[in-house]
This record gives sequence, C-alpha cells and structure tokens, in this order.
Amino acid sequence: MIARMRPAATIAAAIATMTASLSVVPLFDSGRWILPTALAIVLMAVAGAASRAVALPAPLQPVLQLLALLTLLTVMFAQPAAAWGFLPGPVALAELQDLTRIGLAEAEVALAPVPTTETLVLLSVGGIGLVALTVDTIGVTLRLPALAGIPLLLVFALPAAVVRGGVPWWLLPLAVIGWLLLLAADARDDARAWGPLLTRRPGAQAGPRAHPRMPRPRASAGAAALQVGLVAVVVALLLPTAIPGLSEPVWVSPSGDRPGIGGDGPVSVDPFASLRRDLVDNPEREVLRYRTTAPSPGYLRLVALDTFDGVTWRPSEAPIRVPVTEPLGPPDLAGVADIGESTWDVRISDLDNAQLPVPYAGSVITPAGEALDERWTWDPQARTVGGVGVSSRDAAYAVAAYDIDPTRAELRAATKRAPDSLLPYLQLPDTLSPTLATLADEVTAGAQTPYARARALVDWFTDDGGFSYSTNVVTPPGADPLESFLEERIGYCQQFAGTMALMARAVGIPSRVVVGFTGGRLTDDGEYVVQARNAHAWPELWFAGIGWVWFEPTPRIGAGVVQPDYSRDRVDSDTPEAPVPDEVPQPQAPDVAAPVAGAGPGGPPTLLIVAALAGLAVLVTLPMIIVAWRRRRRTSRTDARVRIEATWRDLGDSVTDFGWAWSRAQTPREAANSLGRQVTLGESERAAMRRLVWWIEQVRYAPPTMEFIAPSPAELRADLAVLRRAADRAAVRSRRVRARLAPASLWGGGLSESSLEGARPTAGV
Amino acid sequence: MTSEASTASVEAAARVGTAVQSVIAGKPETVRLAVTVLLAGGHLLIEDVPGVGKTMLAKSLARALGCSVRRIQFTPDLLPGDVVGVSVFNRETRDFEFKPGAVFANIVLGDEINRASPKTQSALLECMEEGQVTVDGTTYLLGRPFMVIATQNPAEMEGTYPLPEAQRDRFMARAHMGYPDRASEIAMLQAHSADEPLESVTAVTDAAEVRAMIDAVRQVYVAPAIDAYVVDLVAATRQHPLVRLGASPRAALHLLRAARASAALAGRGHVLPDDVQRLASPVLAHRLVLTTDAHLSRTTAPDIVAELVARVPLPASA
Repeated sequence: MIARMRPAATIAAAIATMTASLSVVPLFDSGRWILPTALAIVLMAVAGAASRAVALPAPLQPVLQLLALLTLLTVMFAQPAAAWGFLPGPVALAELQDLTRIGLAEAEVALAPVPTTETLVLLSVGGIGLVALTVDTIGVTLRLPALAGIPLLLVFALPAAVVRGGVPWWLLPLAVIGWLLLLAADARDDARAWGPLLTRRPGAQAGPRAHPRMPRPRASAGAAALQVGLVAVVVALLLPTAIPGLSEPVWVSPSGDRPGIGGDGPVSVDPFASLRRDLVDNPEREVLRYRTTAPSPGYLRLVALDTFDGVTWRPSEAPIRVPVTEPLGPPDLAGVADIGESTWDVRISDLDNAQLPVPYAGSVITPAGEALDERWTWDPQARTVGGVGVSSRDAAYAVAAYDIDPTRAELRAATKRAPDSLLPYLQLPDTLSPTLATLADEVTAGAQTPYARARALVDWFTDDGGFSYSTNVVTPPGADPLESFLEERIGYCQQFAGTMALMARAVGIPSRVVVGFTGGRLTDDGEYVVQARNAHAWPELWFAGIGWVWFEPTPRIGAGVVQPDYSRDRVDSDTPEAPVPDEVPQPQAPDVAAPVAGAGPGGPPTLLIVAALAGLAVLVTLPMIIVAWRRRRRTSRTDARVRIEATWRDLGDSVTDFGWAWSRAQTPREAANSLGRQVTLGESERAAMRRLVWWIEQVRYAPPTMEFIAPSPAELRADLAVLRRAADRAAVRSRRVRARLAPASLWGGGLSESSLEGARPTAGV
Repeated sequence: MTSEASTASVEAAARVGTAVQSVIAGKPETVRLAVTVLLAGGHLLIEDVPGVGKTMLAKSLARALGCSVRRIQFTPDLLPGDVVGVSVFNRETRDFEFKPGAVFANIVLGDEINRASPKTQSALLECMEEGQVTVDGTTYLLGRPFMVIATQNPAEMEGTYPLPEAQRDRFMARAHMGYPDRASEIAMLQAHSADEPLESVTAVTDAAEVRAMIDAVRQVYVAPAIDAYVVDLVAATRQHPLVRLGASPRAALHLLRAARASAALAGRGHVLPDDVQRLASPVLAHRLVLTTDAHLSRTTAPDIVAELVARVPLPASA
C-alpha cells in the first residue's frame, strides 16, 4: 500500500510545485500568501497520496483533490458562509466566486508588486493549489512526470512575463530542480518495480509490479538522471551567453516597451497613449472644471515620468506612497523669496484615470462632499496623486498649493549642483543617440548657468530650432523616434517635453516629464473648463533651492499652452549678473554612471552565487571573447593593408576552427576555391569571398603605386561574418561547439604547422 | 607595363597559342607553357618519347612567330662548329671568314639534343646562356628573340647522352607532350591525312612584336611577397630529403621570369602566387637530382615539386 501511495514521487511533486511557485514572490509586496499556498500544496499531496493509497480509480483522484482544495479555500476565505463551518456549500461557493472575480479585476489593473490583499491571496492559493493538483495527477498518478513540467512552467512563466525586469534569475534553476526531483523519484519507482533496490536501502520492499514502460534496470538511474539534469540546468543557464546572436541570456526578460503596462506607478494605461488618444479622439470633451485663487494658474499635473528607458518615459520604479489625507510640506524653497498659497476646487467629470489632477506644488487635499477613496495616495517626490484600482471619475476635491513663481534672478542664482538623491533624474540610457548630447551642447553653448541652459533649450525648441507642432507624426518604421524627431523637427507635446528633458539631463540639469492638463478656458463666472484637448506634457527641471520648475518647449498657440514668466521673453536670458565660477556645475554624466551602475538586488549569498556563476560564465566564454576581440582588433587596424592582411588571416583561423581545410600554402584563389568545394557557398557568400580574395591580392601582390579603394573595417567584418556563417552552417555540430568554446586558432598558428605536418613526404616510407 | 602594351601582348600571345594549337591538338597547357617561356626569354626543353609531336610543336611555334628558324638535328657525330659556326679561310680575301652556324636564328630547334656528344651540347648551351657566339676570339651577337626549343627523348632510350644537370639548368622549363587523348588523336589522323597541317600555320606576329612582348613582360611588377615565396620554394627543394641536388639560384630567377610572363599572358600587371605555383613544376622539376631512395620509391621530381607547392606557406605582405 505504501508503494501504491508513491510517497517519494508525491513529495517530489509537492516540492516541485513549491519551488516553481517561489517565482510568484516578486508579484506580492509581502510574504503573507506563502503559508496558505504551501498549505494548499501539502493538502493536494496528502489528498493525492490518500486517494492512491485506497486505490481510488484514477479519474476520481483529482475530483477528491479538488474537493479538498475547495474545502480549504472555504475555510480560509469564506468560513462564515460554510455549511457546518467548513464544507463548501452553495453559499460559500458563491462567496468564493465573488472573491475570485474581485481578485481577478484587481489583478488586471494592479502592477507588481501587488498588495497582499485577501482576494489576491485567494487567487494564489486557488491557482497554485490547482497547479499542485495537476502536477500530482499528471506526475504521480498518471506517471508522466515529464509532462508535469508544463503546469510548473506556467507557474514560472506568469510572474516572469508580468514582473518588470523579469524575475530573479535563480528562480529558474530552483523551479527546474524541483521538477528534476520529481523525475528522479519517478525513475526510482521505475527501478523499484523490478525488485528491491540493490544499491541503497536493500531492505526496502517493493512488490514486483508490471509496468508498461521500459524500466531501467539500474537502481541509480534516478541519481544519474538528477546529475544529468543538474548539468543541463547549469548548461542552460550558461549556454545562452555562449551562443552567438543571443546577446542577452534568456533568463533576462526584456525590459523594453510593454504596451498596456505603464510602469510601477499607479498608471494602468500608458500615460502617453491615453494622452494622445484624448488629443485625437474627442478634443472637445469636457474633463474637469476648477476654480482657483491663484492669479495665473499653471498646469494641472497627473503623473511625473522620470525614467527614460531608451524608448519611452516612465514613472519611477518605486515611488514612496503617502495617504492622500496627509498634508505634504512645502518643497525646499530656500532660493525663492515670493511663495504664494492658493486653493483649487476641482470637480472632475469625464476623466477615468488612476490619477487626480493637482497643481504644483500641491500640499493638502480635502474632499469636497463625498470622502475620497482611501486608496488614493501622494507620491511626495513627484507631488502627484494616484491610486490602485481607483478612478478619478466624478471626484471633487480642494487642493491647497504653494505657488512657486521664481524670478529670473533667483533662477540664475541657482547654480549649485544637484544632490545625489537627484541622480536618477540625470540618468540617460546608454543606448541614447549621441546626436542628442552633441546637439544639447551646441544649443547651450555659451550658457553659464543651468537656467541659461534651460532657457537656451526652450528658445531652441520654440523658436530657433525651427520646430513645428503636429499631432499627426508618424515615425518611419525602423527609425528611432527621437532621432526622427530631431531630424524632422515636427512633433507634439510629448516629443518636445521628452526631448527637452533628455537634453536637459545631457547638460547636467535634473529633469522629468509631467503629463497633465493645461490651464483650460476661463468662463465668465470665473471657472476654468478643461477639455480633452488640454491634455499636455511638459518638462520640469530642477534648480537648487527652487526645486522643480516647469518649462514649455512646445511651440503651439492655443489650448492653454503658456510660457511661465521666467521664460517668457528672452531679453536677458544669456546675461548672468555675475558668473559664479566656483559653483558652475559641470555636466554630470560621468558622475551619474558610477553610483547607478552597481545598484542591484540581492544580499551576500546571492551576490556570491552570481559572482561564482559569472566567473564560470566568463571562463566558458573567455575563448570566444578573446577570439572576437582579436577579430575586432584585426579588422579595425587603421592601415588598410594591415587590416586586410589581418582579416584574411582571421578568415583562415575561422575556417580551420570550424574544421575545414585551409592551408597557408594555398594562394588566395586556391584557398577560396578549396573552401567553395568544402562548403557550398551561396551567391552572396561567393561574392564576399571574391571581394576578400581581390583585396588580399591587391595588398600582397599589386604594385604599391596602384591605388585601390580600401574597404572599411565594417565592410571587411561584414564579408568575414558572411563567410564565417557559411563555414559555421556547414560544419558538424561538435566542430561548431568547439569553434566557440575552444577554437583551435586561439592557441596560435596551429594552422601552418598542421598543414606542414600533414604534407610531410610520405613517399619512400 | 602600360595597359595598351599589355593588351597587345596578350592578344599577340593568344594568336600564337591558337596557331600552334591548330597543329598540336589537345595540349593547351603545353602550348601555353611554350609561349610563356618565349615571352620570358627562356629556352624550352621538350621531353617525351618519340612521335608525340615534340618537333611539330617547336616547328609550329616557330612558324607562327614569323621569325627565322633553324633546325639542328643532333647526332653523335655533330660537331660544335656545326652549331655555332666556323671560321673558314677565304682564298680571295686571304682571310678567315666566319660562317655562322645553325644557332644564328630567332628560333633554334634542337632535335634530339641528347643524341649529340657532350662537347657539342655544351657549345649550344653556352650560346643559350650568353646570347652570343665567340669564335676565334671574335664575338657574334645572336638575334633577338632567341629561343632554343630542344627536344629530348627520355634518358632510357638507346643511344642517348643524358644532359648533364648543369646544362639542364639552362633551360627555363621542361615540357612534356604526353599522348593525345582519343578524340584529339582521331582529329589528328583526319587532319594529317588531308594535307600537311604545318603548311596551314602562318605567321601571326613578327620578331619586332615578340621583342616588344618580351620587353613588356620585364615590366610586370613583382611584390616582395612573391620574391620571398620564390626563394622559399627554391630553398625548400634543397632541403627535401629525397633531393640530392636542389634548384639553383638561376632556377629562382627563371621561375620568377616565367611567372612574370604568365601574369602578362593573363593580362595582369603583377605576379600572383598562382603564377609561381603553376610554373613551379615545369621550371624546377628538371633541375632536381633525386636520391636513390626517390628512384626506388618511384617518386618523380614533379611529385616533389607538387608536394613543396602544397606545403610551403605563402609569405604575408610585410
């Protein structure tokens, strides 16, 4: 009966499910879901083992397990509605159903890490419980452990797909090891079906049991399988780094653009996408009305985007959240003399957003009428209001705000460099087009203070640069939108705001992009009406002692676009009263890179493992790196003749690495013909070969007085790559692997020696 | 070498080749070699069994060139004076008068050269090297172009004096005729039954043009890498375990000159290692003296040269 229960495999299945579900950890903001979920997994194992022990017919076993799972869920989440306190009656089931629906709705809008709410824990317990059930059924009852990997993979794939930046890399091997345990346990049971195991625990009895599958007679098959599996895991983790074309390891999920997920903030919709939709779809739609005591109302802010990932601006990764009921103090305004205060009564009508529009710098929000949902929170850094699962529709509230209207003199005096806490606002992606920085330097040339630079940028966008405004801008396919914008000089607010923010960062001014609304139309009764067409984006730049100051680079008239006082006319913009040489901040790009680069999650053990694996990966990939580096160096020599000669040599090395004959005793033409005979070359490959032959002949044998157009390193590399691919394609697998991991050419001119040896006179022997 | 000269040379050489091939069917390589040696200003040794067209090749080449041709049939009783000429006492002028020998022609066909006595052979070979004849203290210049096409039966044939190595060295290249293939032989039978095919060969060029061609070949550029390669190749023959006597520095010179001609024939202004490799065996093989081991193992000199070509690495450019 014990054997029928298959305890080892049952436990292995439970462990496999548990290790796989560890990948859910990054989805939640706390670990409160773990215990209930583990309980569900254990319950599934117990129920499975029990049903096997009593020899329940196979189709009924999952039914029993499902009943057990439902009972558990009822006890945990719907106990008051349960029949007799624990049984899942109709009422309890309906309750569970409701909770599930709420949970799903929540999950839809929430972004990882989600709060550990009861409903989301219910989803976790139920979902992973179902996976445990499936794994137990497939892997243990039906004895198809390999297939049980599929539900396990699903558990792993969900967080990997949802969590931004992917799940930590070590979760994959962990999940796979759990599954390998299941495979190993199954293999052991297989072997046991042939009698007692001889190598281990000889006392263990197992009735000879016919099994339709081919059993393995070796008792250690399970252990061997485990070893092979472990090696496979390690290889799977390391190999991607060793495969040309896979520049990024597969376990690193791309952190690129994901439509529909606007980042870590409360935004569930890309703020730009909704903005553009508003601008285009129904510009006349009224969004909100407000009254204000501010003499010249600025813009209303929805969300601040402070991270540029190379493609889009996003809200910051981990905003601090403060309940909206708590007041925010004034920003650091040491450098501004005149700080006013104003109140804004905002009534939102047709705006379904997860942010509330507030002015800068809002400090206190009081609900007008109905209390605000407690899920609304401040982001104190951005001074924006957002929430999870909330809607701004029909919200009404009053905002008390500080009016910050710095004078030009104050702005000019703000020359202190930004503190370290603002370094994220200076960060530019490595992939950023160098044109931008060059352009920023050109535009701001001669500007001494950050303010002068900011003004130079605004003037360039609105006036000097020849930009024009259009909402119908289509970036040509394949083109970088940023470069395309700088090239065509036509775009709309998002592009102006985003580009100015980037250029500001390039010249050392912390910046961010803010999405919101322009001031709107003032009606006769003193109320401002904001329409969808007022949706706008603009940059905010940071100045020491003044804080965030907004600018308006969009050259557009109407729809409420205004210039703040400090950038309205350009009379004195470039004439600082007194240069302050000591404190003129330097462009800070080098300073920024260092502290940010090292940032990464993980304590010492993780670091150790990462370091060890990285070391191993480096060892494995070292030959490849050396060869690639050598190729790069060879093909980029400045002297064209040396470059061509080196390229030719590299071709020979590559070809021999892939196992093809290549002799330095062959003339270039012979070598080409010989390669063509060994490797079937396509038309383009033959052309590349012909070019290389022609170049090497020119370099080696033609009179030096004869001029020829030397190929660029890129051309040489391209032809070399084409031929390498051809040699690679036709090579046998072992040579292809060897060519990468242990290329013969790495150990120097093995080529000529071997060809000499092969041609030693055999005659007379 | 200017491109016009090059084009003209290539065309003239092609005409010569075509004319010769109309008589010697199925041997384009041999014909090409003969033309190469002509342009390189060298002398050609044609070695093969009797009756495969050695003399025909030489005769047709001479006719196609439209130069003066003399033929010497070497026999054991041929005297040096028959070859270079003699001073004869003229009774009327009461003085010795030089009667030029057979070498005073642009193309000298030395048939069965290895049947002559060594003394006569060496008399001819001196003319080949020097391009002049000295009789009784007076030096007479030979014409330009001057090319000796000597035919020789293989050493094993009866009544032959094998050419000493020092004299073989003066021939730029050795060509083999070999038997024609079946189709060529049938075609030859048909052609020869009708009339004498040699009659149909007309001069397609003249001595002046050949001289221009030879001058043009001298202008072909040789890269340092080619010089190094030729030297390496020749040096390798001296170190080969099966070779008793390797190729001489003169061999290196000949190889390079032949390679220049080959490059010019291909319309190129510079020599490629392919030229050197193609000519290595014809130019070098007949100069090598092999060891007894080589003879015992039936390794021939062309085998050894081919092996060296396959393994001597090409120098990269400096």
